Amino acid sequence: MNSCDNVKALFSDYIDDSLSAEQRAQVDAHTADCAECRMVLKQVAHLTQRIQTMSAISASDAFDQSLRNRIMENYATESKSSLKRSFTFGFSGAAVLAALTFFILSTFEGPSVETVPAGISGAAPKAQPELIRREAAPQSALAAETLKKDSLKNTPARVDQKIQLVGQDK
Amino acid sequence: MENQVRYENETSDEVLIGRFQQGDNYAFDLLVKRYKDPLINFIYRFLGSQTDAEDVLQETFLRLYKNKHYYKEIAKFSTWIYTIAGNLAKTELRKRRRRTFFSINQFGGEEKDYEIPDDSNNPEQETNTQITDDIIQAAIERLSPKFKEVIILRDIQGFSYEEIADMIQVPLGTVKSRVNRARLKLQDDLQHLMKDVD
Repeated sequence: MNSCDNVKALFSDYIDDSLSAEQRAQVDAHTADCAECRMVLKQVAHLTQRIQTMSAISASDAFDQSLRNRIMENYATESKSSLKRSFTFGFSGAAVLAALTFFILSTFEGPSVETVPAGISGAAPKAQPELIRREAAPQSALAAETLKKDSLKNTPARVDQKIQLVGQDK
Repeated sequence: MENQVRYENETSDEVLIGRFQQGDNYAFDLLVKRYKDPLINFIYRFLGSQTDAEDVLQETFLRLYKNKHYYKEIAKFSTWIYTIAGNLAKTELRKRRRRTFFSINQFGGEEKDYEIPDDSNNPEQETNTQITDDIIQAAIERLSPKFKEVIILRDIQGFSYEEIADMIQVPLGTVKSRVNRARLKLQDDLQHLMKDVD
């Protein structure tokens, strides 16, 4: 048999007339026996009908004008902030453009920095020894070879001369 | 003139919002004209104050004006606008609850679930045979927001269960269950006024 709670769960659909014939018969059978549920169903139906016919509220006469003012106010605020945003973006854009120009100019002027004397450019003294070492190495080998050739040329007698160390047997 | 009246009466909401999206502000005026009374009735039942309801209604139409391009034709316009109004009304209720909470704490009140005083229980106001709108309104206001919302949409605004399910984004069965429970709660709250109902 249906419990009161199960039947009460069907009351809305009963009032809205959206129950199947079988379910409707179940509610009718239960409320015929149960005075409590019968009373609740009647009161819910009465109250629902009463709520559906409650007097409606209307917007005041001043509503349209107030809405128009609020929309205009909002439009003005949006325009101001939009202008402010444009100005901010414009200013930022100009700053970026200036930085970019400076960067490009700096990049193209870059090689001329190397022409600056080492004493003025801070980086030059560090870079120069490396360059010197790399370039000086072949030059030193060449100079040494030349020196050796010159030495042999100047003292040909010493070419096959054996070196006699101290204490070594002759 | 006759054509204008026919245009105002026969053009669907969806056509009007489409025209408004294309820049026709007259279509917006017609939507306001069409919806301001049903919506204020809906919001008023939520909040119980005409002034607050008008503020929320203005905000609803302002949202419509600013966010018109968010409307897509897959939904009914009425569903969309009622969803906006319902959300704003619930936000207003939450603000009120916070204000009430702080004001109670400020004066050293006990920390408990505060209920709005029920003026409708004044015996002088009650009769055994008639329930006034104010008493019912007060009882609706005492419902929790989720029950209040469905009972207003169903019994005051007359929407179908399917439309309500779309508006509040819950399953159809949940809507039906909430409406049923809300009706039973109202009956329980107001039964002392319906002794003569037979």
